Amino acid sequence: MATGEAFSAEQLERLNRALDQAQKHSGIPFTVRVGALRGDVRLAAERILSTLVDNPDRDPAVLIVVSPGQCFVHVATTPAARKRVSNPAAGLAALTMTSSFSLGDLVGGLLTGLRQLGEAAGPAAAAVGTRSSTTDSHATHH
Amino acid sequence: MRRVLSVAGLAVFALPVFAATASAGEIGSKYNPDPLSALQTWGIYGGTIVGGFLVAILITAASSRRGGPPRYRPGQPWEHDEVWVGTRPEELEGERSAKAVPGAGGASGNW
Repeated sequence: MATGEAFSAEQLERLNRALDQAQKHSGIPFTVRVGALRGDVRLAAERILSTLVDNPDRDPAVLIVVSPGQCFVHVATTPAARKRVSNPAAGLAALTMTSSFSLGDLVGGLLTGLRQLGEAAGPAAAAVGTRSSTTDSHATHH
Repeated sequence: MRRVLSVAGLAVFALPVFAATASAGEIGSKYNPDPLSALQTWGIYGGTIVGGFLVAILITAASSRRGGPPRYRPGQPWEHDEVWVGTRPEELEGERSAKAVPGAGGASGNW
């Protein structure tokens, strides 16, 4: 650490709680990374996303990368998570976060961003339910 | 009208109380009780002000020391190690290569 911790223990605790809540609500693993990115920032975010799950093509995962020095935030979703968190929903969450970040409130922005993404993904049980109901309707059609 | 009434009501109760305490208690004259010495006068009138400032300074110092990490301000360089919330890739089992994910979604923002 060059200049001490970036966040206090209490702030990290709040972030962890918001993350857990979003994960529990949606059933999608969320990860937040705050730090500088090198090179192409979008590609860097995507590369980090690919290391978070066994099979990035099949497993859902949502990654939020924030680079305060570069004033950049990116919400990255795997193809499976993209079906739950659409690109417009991710864009809305990114907009929410940047409006807090521009006031210097990193923790508040991440908290609302996580909550919003969790809400956008919808409850885990409902997603399973819709899938089973569609298969049911298919079964009745046949 | 209401304000006038409330002032009048308070005066009706307060004036007899003040009058009674004044007549019952000893108000004193110029020589009795003894006048304050210069030191006592400075102690009371100066010490109160200095003490008030000291209390304010102490409270300020205590609150700023407990303030935690310095607040991020937009445009500032970020000189911290990276912070992860949730599982970081190193904690997961198995070796994974970082690669582009075709079909990945998401959105970016700048501030």
